[in-house]
Amino acid sequence: MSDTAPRSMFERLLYVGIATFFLWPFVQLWSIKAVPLFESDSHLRASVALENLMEKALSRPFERSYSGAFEPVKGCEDMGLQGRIEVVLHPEMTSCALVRAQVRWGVFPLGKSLSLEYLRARTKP
Amino acid sequence: MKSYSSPKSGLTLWEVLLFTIFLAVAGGASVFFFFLNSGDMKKAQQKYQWEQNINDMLDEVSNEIANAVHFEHPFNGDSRECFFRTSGDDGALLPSVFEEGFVFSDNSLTYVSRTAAVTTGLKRLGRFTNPLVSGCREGKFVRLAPDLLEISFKADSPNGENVGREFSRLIYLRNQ
Repeated sequence: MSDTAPRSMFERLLYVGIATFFLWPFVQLWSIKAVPLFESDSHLRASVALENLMEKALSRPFERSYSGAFEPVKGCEDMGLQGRIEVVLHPEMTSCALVRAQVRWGVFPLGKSLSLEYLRARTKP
Repeated sequence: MKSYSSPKSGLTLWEVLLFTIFLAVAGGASVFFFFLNSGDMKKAQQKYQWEQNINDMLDEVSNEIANAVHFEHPFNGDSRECFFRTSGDDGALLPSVFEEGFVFSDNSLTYVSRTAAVTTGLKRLGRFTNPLVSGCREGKFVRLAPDLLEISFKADSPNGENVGREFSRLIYLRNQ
C-alpha cells in the first residue's frame, strides 16, 4: 500500500466510529435538554408556561381542530418564550381530539421546544 | 528490497490532524465533566432549589383545586382565598359544611379547612407543611372563566437572591 493510496471504506467507518464515541456524550447532553448551569431557570419557566398553556387550552370549549400561531408568553418576554395551542382529531379514534401545547425559545440552531399532549373526549368524563 | 509492510515513514498530515482533534475533544470532555461535578455547579443548582420547591408546591395546590368536586369561592372576580368541596375516599361528595381551601394571609399561603363554625389550618398538604409559602405578596385567586382559575403571587427567596419573583398558575377546574 503506497503512501498516497486513498483511505478504504473500512478506515473511514473506523474514523466515524471513533468520532461518534467521543461526541456521543455531548449529543446526549443536548437531547436531554439540560445543561443545569445555563438552562435550569429557562426550563423551569418554560415548563410552567407550558402547563399554563395546556390548562388554558383545556378550558376552551371543545373543538375538533384548531391551530394557533406562536405567540409571546406573558411574563416570559425576556427569554423570548413563544407558545401555541393546537387541536387535531385523533387519527384512529375519531371521537377524540388531541390537544397539543407547545412552547419554544432560543434562536434557530440552538432553539429548544417543549410540548405536552392531552387526549380529550368530546364529552366530559 | 521491497517490503510488504507499508513503506511510509512518520505520520501524514491527515493523521496528525485527526489525532489533534480527538485529543482536543477528549480533553474538552474531561474538563467539562469535572466542571459538571464542581462546587460552582452545585451552587448554581441550589440557587434554583427554592424556586423549584415553590413550583412543586404549586403543582400540589393546582392538583387539589383542579380535582375539587365543587368549587365554591371565588365565584367571580378575584379573592385572597379560595374554597372548594372535595370528595371522600369512596368518591362521594362530602357535606357542604366541610370545605377545604387556600388562603393568602400574613404574607403566607395556608391550606385550611372550613366548617360552618370555624376555619382551621390543616397540618400539611402532601409533603408540604403549613404555611405552604412564607414571604409572599400580592397573592390572589382570580376566576378567569367558569372553569379556569388563576393563582398568582410574588415571593422573595429567604437568602435574598431572587426578589419579587412572580409565580402564576392557571388551573382548569375539571369538574365545573
